[in-house]
Amino acid sequence: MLKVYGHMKFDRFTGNEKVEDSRLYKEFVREDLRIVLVARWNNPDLLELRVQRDESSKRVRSWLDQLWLMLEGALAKGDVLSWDLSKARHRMIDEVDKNEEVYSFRDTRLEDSLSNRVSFEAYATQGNLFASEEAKEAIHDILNGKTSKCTHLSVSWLPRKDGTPSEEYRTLLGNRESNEVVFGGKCAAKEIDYVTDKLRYFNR
Amino acid sequence: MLPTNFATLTAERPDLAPALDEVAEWIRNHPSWEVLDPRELSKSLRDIDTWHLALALRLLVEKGFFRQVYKVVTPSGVLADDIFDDPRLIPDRLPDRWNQYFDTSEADVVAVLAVRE
Repeated sequence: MLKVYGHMKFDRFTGNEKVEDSRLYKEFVREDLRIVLVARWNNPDLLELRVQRDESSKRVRSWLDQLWLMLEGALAKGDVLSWDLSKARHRMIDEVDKNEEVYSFRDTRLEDSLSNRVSFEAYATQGNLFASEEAKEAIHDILNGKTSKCTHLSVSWLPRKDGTPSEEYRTLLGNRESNEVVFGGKCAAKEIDYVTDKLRYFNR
Repeated sequence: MLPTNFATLTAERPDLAPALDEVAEWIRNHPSWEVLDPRELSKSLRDIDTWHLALALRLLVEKGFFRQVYKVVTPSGVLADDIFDDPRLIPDRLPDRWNQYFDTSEADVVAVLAVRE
């Protein structure tokens, strides 16, 4: 495991503006940002690159580039294939009924055979999208298309008796990249491993 | 699930009993909701007069069943994840359901009811 600690300064716009002599002034404050990046070999076949969430996608990409740069001596980007999670998303939707004690969905984005995009979002933050028969049917109908696909899936992993996860835990599967997984809030390493193992299973 | 046993309140305020019963029923039908959104309630409980619904919700807060907190509506019209005790604590930007950050100064802020901690 490679763990990288660092900090950077960034300029945050405060929202304050003023115009003087036809010149527009915007106020920024310079803030410190602590950074923790992780690269981990998840035996036997996965390289995990973990970066923190941030409002700037540019910063997130730069942290990923930084990780690749630091791994360069041991591993190049071209040495590995990106872990496309399309199959896992599709299969999890197909098998939702038999896994109702394992997970539920809150939001999803689909692409139909003609590349039209459709988003479904439960209104409540703890909502279960498939509690609505109409939504469930529509999602299955769209995914029945020959080349249609699920590009984003917000999954609530339900608590288990063995304590992992100990409480409901949400991840967004797919974001800017098909292999991207966004973990909401703080999570322990064992919860990341739990989700990874589930994704390994559903991506088969 | 949010609390649904308002028996002491319905005895105390029988004029609000129908509204309180409807709110309890609504909560039972929406077990995964972590907050009560008065806007959604008023849309769903059309048989209940808005005034009585407002009074019932106020009573639930006064009696300690719920506390008033704030949530931000995302550009697509659903609630963002974070909950705030004070609207002044809402940051300039928040992530929507797709991890895309939006400007909260342009967004609606909704007063909702959460379980008292």
